[in-house]
Amino acid sequence: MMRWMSRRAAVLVVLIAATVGAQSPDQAAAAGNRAYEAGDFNSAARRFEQALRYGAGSGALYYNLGNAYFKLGRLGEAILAYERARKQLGDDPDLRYNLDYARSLIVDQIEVAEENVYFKGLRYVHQLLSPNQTAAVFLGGYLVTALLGLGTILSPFPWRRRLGIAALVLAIPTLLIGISLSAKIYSDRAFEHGIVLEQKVYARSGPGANHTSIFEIHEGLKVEIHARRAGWTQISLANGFNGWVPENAIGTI
Amino acid sequence: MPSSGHPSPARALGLAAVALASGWFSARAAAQPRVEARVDAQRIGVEDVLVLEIVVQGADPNQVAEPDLGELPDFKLVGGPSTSTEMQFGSAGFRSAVRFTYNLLARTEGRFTLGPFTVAIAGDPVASNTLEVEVVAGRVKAPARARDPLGQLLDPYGRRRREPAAEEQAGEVLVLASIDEPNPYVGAQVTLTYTLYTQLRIQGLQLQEEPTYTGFWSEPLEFKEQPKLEPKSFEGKQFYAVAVRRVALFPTAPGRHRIEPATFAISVAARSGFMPLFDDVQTVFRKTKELELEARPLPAAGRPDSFSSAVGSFGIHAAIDKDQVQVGDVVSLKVEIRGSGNLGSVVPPALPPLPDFQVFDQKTSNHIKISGGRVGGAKLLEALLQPTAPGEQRIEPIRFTYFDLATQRYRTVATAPLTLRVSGDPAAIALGAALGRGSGPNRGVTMVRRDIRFLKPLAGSLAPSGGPLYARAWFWSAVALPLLLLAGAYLLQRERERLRSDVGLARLKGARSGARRRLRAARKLIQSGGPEFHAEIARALLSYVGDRFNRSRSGLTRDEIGSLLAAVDAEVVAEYEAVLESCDAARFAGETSTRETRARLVERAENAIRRLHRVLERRR
Repeated sequence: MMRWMSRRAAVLVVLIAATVGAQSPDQAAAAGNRAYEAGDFNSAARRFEQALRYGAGSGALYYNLGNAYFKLGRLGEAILAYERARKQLGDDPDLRYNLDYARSLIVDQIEVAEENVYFKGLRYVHQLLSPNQTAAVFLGGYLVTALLGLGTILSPFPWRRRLGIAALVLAIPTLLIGISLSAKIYSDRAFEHGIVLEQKVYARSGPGANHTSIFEIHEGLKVEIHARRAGWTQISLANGFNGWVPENAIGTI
Repeated sequence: MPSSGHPSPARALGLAAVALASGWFSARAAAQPRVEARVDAQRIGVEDVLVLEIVVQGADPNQVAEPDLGELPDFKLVGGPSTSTEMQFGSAGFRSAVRFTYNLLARTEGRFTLGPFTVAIAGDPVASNTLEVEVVAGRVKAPARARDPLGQLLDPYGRRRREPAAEEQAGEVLVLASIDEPNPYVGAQVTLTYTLYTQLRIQGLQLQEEPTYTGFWSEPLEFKEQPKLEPKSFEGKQFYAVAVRRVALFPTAPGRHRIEPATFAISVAARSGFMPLFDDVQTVFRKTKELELEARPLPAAGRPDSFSSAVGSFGIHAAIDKDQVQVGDVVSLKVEIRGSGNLGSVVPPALPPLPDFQVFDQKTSNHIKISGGRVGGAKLLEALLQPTAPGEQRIEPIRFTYFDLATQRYRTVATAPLTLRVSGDPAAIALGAALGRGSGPNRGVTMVRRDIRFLKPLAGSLAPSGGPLYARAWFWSAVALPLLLLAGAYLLQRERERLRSDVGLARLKGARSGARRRLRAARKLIQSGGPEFHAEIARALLSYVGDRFNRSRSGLTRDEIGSLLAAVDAEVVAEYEAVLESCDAARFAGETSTRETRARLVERAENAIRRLHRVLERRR
């Protein structure tokens, strides 16, 4: 009798522990990290997904989830998770490396016109910081510039000149960061991007399987999303190709 | 073509009308919706377009989804769906029909069943009837007339004589496929040419369906110049003919090979007799006939073991990018096979034995070039060689064998031998070998295999950042606040500058506050009394008027005060002067005062200044 009771108590303790463990996104994510380190990528991915379901969603968690998907060969989902991580982590060197490597493995290599070297440099600088980092740096620079401006207006002569020069010097980079931030806000509001999740998808000329297949795309390709209609998503590629694919074939970043 | 999420204005108007009617539909849901499939002909040719209509009747047009055609293995969809909605109010009530129209082209001859097609009406699938269609060779259908709305507009009564369009006209259009060699060797080029024969004016041509060219390596041949129409006769009729597409085919195995039919969509124009702009344009489809060829095997006699599959005429050349290196350095070897023939299926030659080299990263690439209608170019083999021993290392000739079509014999060509001088310290090499490096001490680090970087530690909060910063109200408040502060500071500073440059204005603005300050000082002296109390009140009264009119307080006489306050009510001025006189009497005539009288004097002074200020402000 005592043995039966102790066995039941043990089962109860395990159940309670499992329930408590399952309710904490931190614990689920930590369990995911442990499973990954042990080489159990399937469990790791499940744990990270669980942490996301419980409300977690940091850049590091998406990065780790991307790693687990990558190890499982789920290239499209890996790239999607990396892209989501990039929204929060910005130009993190590890993330950039993994994303570049994952992108090098996708089937579709879209040929687009070579960018001017200056434009390429500008794009690089523009993408150094995540939107949140850009907003924070801009706000900091803006507030300090405004304080210096206030000092310039209200201070007597010798200080007025010094503070005015300092405000001007700081205003120029702040303005450039502000332009970068505006571009990011515009891009965020105007364009929606997604990643192809299925190994091979036929893009059709209209939203339905009865329309003509016009091109073929593969897992991991980044596309721009334009419209959704009756289970179909209208997408375009960097080279201008435009078509409709089933909605579940695309994961929105 | 269906809209991409944004309906056209015309469609939007149509939908609005439909939406008005839909209320009526919801009230009258008794009628059962019906889906009917129709074709414009039961017997067609493989080059005829079959028009399929799916009509939905008795349903709210807003609730009708696009039909699901399912698999159509025997037909190709070449147009549609175009959608139209018809609504009629009649004695029987309100009737509607939604019509979906598709254009189909048969892939092959035979008897086929189309349908049933399913249409989702308010989410419920409703099936149509099935259709039987017989497809025969060629064309049997009378062509449909292209709609000409502009023509009707210009000639509403049809009095203007219009020439018949496309196939209505006395004229033919056809596409013929031909090959230049029906019995080629395996690997030899056969040129397949599609030629358009026409007696009509052609506005456009598109390859609708191309054969898969199974059993061939194929390469399209592009035209260097715009092909010209030339008069030619075919089956006793005169046509204008032009080659519209050429493809180089190389059989990959001996035996009989089929070249399946190709389908072309041709836009044919008929003169409207008015202006070329208003010509009718009709699209017709033409299918070529299936072709066959018999590929001969290459002769077995004299075939060297080194032969793989190359047929044509080729040369070979090899080069290395350095002639002097250290042990462990990397040398790039490039072998180029250049010429004309079946480059795409050429197998690059094997490298000769290289015992003192490590060979890695072998890559081949094709650089196809079309010249004079023949396929040629270069096949490039690139390899990285790493010498493992010092001395003069030799790369022996690389041999390549092909079948020469001109002489009908096998030919072997070879590169010149290459020499590489390799230096290096044998001791260092031995040490390197002992350490497992296998080469010299100054070797660069190379990545053996690529992988993703490791996990990130999950320190701190795992919560999402909660949307971008710039989407939060406090962010924009923080941006707006400094702007307001700067604007306020600017206005304040401007006012300060104005007062600094205009003494009169500054005194005017500060008159009241100066008088108040002095009266506050006087109030503190009520208890002690004495001449200083009265002097402070007098100073308050005089400095107010002096500041107000930008006069020196000490130089103000009663007369002057009277003239400055001439425009002020006499009663107000009298009160002001009475307080001033009380002060003078106490200061200079030695009149004594009690605490109460002093307190009352302060109040009187305050009252006099307040009233005076009010009057002067009104008159400003």
